[in-house]
Amino acid sequence: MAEFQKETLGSPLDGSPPTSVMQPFIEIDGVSKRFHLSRSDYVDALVDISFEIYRNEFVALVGPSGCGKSTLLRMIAGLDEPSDGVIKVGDDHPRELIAKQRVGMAMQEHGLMPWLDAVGNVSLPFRLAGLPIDPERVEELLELVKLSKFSNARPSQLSGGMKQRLSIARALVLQPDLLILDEPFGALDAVTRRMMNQELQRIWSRKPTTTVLVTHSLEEAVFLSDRILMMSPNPGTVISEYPVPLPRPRTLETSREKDFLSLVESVTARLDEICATELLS
Amino acid sequence: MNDILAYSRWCLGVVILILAWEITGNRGWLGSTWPPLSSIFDYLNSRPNLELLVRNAGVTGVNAVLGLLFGTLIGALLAILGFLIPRLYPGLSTFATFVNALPLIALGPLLIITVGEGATPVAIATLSVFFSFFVAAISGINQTTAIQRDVTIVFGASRWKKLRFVQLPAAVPRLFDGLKLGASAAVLGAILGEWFGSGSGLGVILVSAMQNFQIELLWSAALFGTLLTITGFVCISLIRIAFFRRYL
Ligand SMILES: Nc1ncnc2c1ncn2[C@@H]1O[C@H](COP(=O)(O)OP(=O)(O)OP(=O)(O)O)[C@@H](O)[C@H]1O
Ligand SMILES: [Mg+2]
Repeated sequence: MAEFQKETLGSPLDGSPPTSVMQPFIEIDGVSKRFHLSRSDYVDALVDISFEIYRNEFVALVGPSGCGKSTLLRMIAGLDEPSDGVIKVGDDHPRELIAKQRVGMAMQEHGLMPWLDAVGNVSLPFRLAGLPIDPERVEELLELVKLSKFSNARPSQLSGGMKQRLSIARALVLQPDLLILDEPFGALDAVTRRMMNQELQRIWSRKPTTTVLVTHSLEEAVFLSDRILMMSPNPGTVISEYPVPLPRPRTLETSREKDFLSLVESVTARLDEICATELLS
Repeated sequence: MNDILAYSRWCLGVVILILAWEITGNRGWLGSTWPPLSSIFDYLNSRPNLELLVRNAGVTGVNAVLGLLFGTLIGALLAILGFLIPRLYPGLSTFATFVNALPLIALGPLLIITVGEGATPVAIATLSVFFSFFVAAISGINQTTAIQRDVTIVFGASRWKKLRFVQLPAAVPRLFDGLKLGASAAVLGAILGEWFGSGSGLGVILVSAMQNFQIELLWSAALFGTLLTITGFVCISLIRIAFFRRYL
């Protein structure tokens, strides 16, 4: 455990040796998940999935609806248990990382507390962790997501995009070792979504953090991630993997470049193919 | 704005009720045991009569407030215990339902010989309050959405911190509803407890007025009982408004 602490908090002086960078942070080994719908009926949401995610890597999980992306993400976050196989985060059970308050999460539904204002919501992780609230850190995060002016507004007084930004600020406030994002911008319009992608990219590039993002938007996946894992349904497995070698920081211009567009296109083609075979079977 | 509308509707309802009562009594539609409201006010216009009622309503009020306090505390404690130790919850819930199912009328004599006449009104008031508050607290604690609970888990909150910072604040509106229900249950319970043979209180007045056929006294006591309940309601509503202004 002490070793783990040292590794995650790391001293900035000794730099990060390449071995530690390429060392897997999340190990998913032969993971299956079966949901029992009734006594005799069940669905195999995921079957025999194995892959690794490296420290400070941004991975996007994409795939047709119902292929088990959220299920996988919940298990990585420690909210659910695999029926078979092992998930390790930093050499431990995901719940260990939760217990150390090193995980941040933002979902399609913001899950903000309606009785707290923006400051209160961003401070909530401190409270839940039993740590003294660091007002400067909270202020810094609100600034980062451009909500300083709304520090005393309640979620009901914010727009959809602002609420999502607030929930991302909340996820980041304790500087997590693992960031879990499930369709964080899924409920937003296309224009706002592009803006949010840019902001998330900017925030993330300032302090790279191991991130697993589930998204339906392949542009979003390419724009944000270092690697895309594509899943196929029935039963849910990872079938393709795409490295995203685009340099950072990425900007709106990046999303108009040829490399970007051709990658989006090939990923899209693959997804269409999966959906088509799915329809045929 | 909505408050004002609700309030004026409430006033209108009261006025209609009073008018209907007055006319019914005046015409003697329901016999001599249903006096017009004005004759009750005449009765209360005499100082000794008014003092008698105020004194006894005060006793009932204290019994009801104590019952509301204890009942709320017990209901809240059971709910919190049930949340912190989930394994206890089914047992607690069954226990609460069982206690609530005991007819208070049967419990009265039992209490008289166990806790004594003096404490019976508070005991019955407590019993009538705790269940509704327990139910309100349990349902309030579960008001959070699945995603709010997931987020709380992922942030590594202990059960206690989860309760303290997420589930309890989410429960507040329900808790106030439980308190409002409890207020009328407490007055009813206190009067019932006094009825069984206390030294003073509206329950005692009700029994003796009934036995001596003192119609005006009987109705006055009923009126004071109603006033107590309404006072309780208004107080809790005011606390609620103040609380929401301050925290929401
Ligand atoms: N709690 C549950 N109980 C039973 N079945 C479940 C449960 N959660 C998920 N499933 C099943 O697991 C499969 C995968 O669901 P999941 O939500 O992970 O898909 P998804 O890839 O996130 O889909 P979407 O893109 O639509 O969000 C589905 O067949 C679903 O019915
Ligand atoms: Mg999903």
